[in-house]
Amino acid sequence: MASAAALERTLGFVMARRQETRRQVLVIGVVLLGLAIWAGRGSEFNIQKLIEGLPKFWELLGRMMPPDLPVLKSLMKPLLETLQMALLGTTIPIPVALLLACLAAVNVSPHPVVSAVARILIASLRTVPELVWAMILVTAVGLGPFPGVLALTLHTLGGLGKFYYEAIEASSPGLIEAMQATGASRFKVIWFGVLPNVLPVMMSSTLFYWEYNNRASTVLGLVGAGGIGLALTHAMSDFRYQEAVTCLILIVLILAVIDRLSAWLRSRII
Amino acid sequence: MATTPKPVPQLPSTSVIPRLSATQMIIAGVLALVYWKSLKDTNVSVEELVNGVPPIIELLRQMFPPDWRYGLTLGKAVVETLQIGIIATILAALLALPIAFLAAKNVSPHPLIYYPVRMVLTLFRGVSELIWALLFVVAVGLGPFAGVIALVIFCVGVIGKLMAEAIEAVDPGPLEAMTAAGASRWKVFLYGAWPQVMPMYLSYCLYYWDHNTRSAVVLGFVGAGGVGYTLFFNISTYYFEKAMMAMIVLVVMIVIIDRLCLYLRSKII
Amino acid sequence: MKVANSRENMVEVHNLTKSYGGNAPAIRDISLTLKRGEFVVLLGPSGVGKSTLLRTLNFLVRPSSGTVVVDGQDLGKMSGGQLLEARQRIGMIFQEFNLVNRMSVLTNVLCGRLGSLGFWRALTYSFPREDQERAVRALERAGLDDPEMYMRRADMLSGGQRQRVAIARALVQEPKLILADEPIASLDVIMREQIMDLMAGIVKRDGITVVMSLHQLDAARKYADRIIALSAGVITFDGPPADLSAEVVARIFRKKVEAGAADDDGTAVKMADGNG
Repeated sequence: MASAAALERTLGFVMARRQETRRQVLVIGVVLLGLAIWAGRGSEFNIQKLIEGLPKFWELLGRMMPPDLPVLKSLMKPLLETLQMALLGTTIPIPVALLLACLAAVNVSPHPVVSAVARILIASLRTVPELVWAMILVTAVGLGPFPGVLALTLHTLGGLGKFYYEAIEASSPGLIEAMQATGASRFKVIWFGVLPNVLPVMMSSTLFYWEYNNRASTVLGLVGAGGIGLALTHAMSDFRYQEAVTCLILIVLILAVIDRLSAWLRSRII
Repeated sequence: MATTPKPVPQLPSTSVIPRLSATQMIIAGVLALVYWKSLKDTNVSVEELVNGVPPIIELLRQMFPPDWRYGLTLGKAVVETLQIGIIATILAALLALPIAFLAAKNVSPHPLIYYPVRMVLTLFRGVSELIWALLFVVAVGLGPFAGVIALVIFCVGVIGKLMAEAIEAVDPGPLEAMTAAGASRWKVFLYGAWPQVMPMYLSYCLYYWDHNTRSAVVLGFVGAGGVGYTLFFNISTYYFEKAMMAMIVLVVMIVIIDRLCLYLRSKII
Repeated sequence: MKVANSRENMVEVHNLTKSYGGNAPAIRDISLTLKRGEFVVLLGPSGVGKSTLLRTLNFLVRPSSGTVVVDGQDLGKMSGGQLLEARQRIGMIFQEFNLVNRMSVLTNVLCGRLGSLGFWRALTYSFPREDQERAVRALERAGLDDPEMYMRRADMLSGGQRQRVAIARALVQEPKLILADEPIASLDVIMREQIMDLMAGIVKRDGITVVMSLHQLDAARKYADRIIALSAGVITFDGPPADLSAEVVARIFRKKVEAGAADDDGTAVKMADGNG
């Protein structure tokens, strides 16, 4: 049984530790609060404006109801276009992404400089939003779904590339060594040694980007790159709000379907 | 002396062309058809690509070399984009937590609360951030504020759902122990469930800070300011060398945030 | 011979029944009286209703019918707030310890005092000094007196140590009754003895009533003041360990004997000789 003095010592020790943790939490809290205030001010955050603006929002929603149903028929083609853009934009980059990944992965790349350049390329491709690519490509090749597909392809190239090279770098070095010891060429080492490890990642990341691209392609229409986004933009700018909300509902529905489909595919394939 | 013959193991096929079953061939056929139609409908063809090469080369010619001096004036735009990303993430993080509490079957006060909240979260997530931004521009006008609201709504939808699922997956043992000791429901959550999900929460917050900053760039296209608006403006006015510079600045900014997030992530575990 | 009066009774259970859904009842029409300061063991293989019965004693499981009176109060007639208060005086320990792994040992123990903690204190994780003292004393009582350990994460301790932390968490409530659900099933043989010794000491020295569910026959024999055996939701034996004959044991563990099962806690019964 501890004496009163020992108890004091223990408690003192314990409470000192708690003070320390509490101080850390306080500091982090203050920093976050400061950041929030600074960021809020810079982004013109204003609750009052939001409250005043809500009636206008409500009015917009009112003008959107009821949804314009007859126009559904004419929206089918743009909707299909959106899905097609996503499919192509996800699948076309796969072989090139694989190649890029082999160049970028440090354990497989022919030279560290090549690897660095490839990584920078991949990072740039995936960081620039596909909307930006789409807008640039529209100015080059004109309106329509073609620049949309290209934009998605470029962005997905970066995205898949990163997943792939991370998977390649995670392969066991022992396996690569063993294969090299048998005198296999670099290509065969990659094809038989490394790529089997990448296959599961390929499946899962392809599904991931298919989902992501479906979402993204609905929006590319904003800059003229085709699909249902274009129909939505036209409807909004012509004040045809009821048609716009039909587009919106279609988008929400199709994305929900894609989500389900993707989840089902995931459970079957992976 | 009859012995049952040993079953012959099925060796892998030796032909280069794989043998497919009838179902597989049908599926492959359907996929090929879908693919071919997609290519046709979206005008993706070798011809288009070939036609497209000259304008793209011209474009690249105009983009390089990037306008380096212009890069120095982009500080304000970068700051604005960062601010949008930061405030949106902080607000979404604060709001998502109590909402996740209501949306988790095992801690939610009542099914009448749980189901509607889950549906609202699905609605928030279902529409892309860009569209929310377009809608809120009507309410609060052009500018970064509409972008912030849009990001917050979408992010709450995502983090709310992810956290609700995390809370539902929590080990119920400690929860039972605290209930047995006479703690009220919210205390059981705070001391039993929260310590278990906190690392995931911080991880999601960091991940979405990165995501929100990227989205803030895209929202610049609908007037939300920042680097995105700069890009939009320069591309639409054909100032491609400036646009290229803005793209470089954008990539550098995101890469730095990525690194920061990775570092902070390692401190959490 | 003392005349039993209600003030001596810690727990009174009348006609308790619990069924889940449309299935057969987990416990059927059980009536019991447990005295203060008794070390009661609910004995039987898994699935006989021990856990259910134990959990009705603090209303973690609400009975389908019947009453549960603990320390003179009818749990069934309580409001939400009153039930919380009642539970604050009842401690509980579990087979899987049920500690929060990422939290420190000390905070885990302090969670025993959560019920009485004020709103702002609970929100900011700041326990008052008296509670911290209680926690340290409870830890020492549970056999952990190295302060270095108190700040360690709970998952860095061994199984036996973790159960001690759980016991400290129960003790810090200053309970009159402690419920224990298979507390030694996840421990190795040496730790089992230590924990059982600890619990027995708590009963004797601090006068706390302990109701423990076990399937380990020899532990029950050695430590219990009173053994209550359950089978298919009804009581098949109620008395001191001395009265536990081989036939009774065989009846209790009949399923195991029929299956020819034997496990390391001495429940295999040889029908030939009279040993259990």
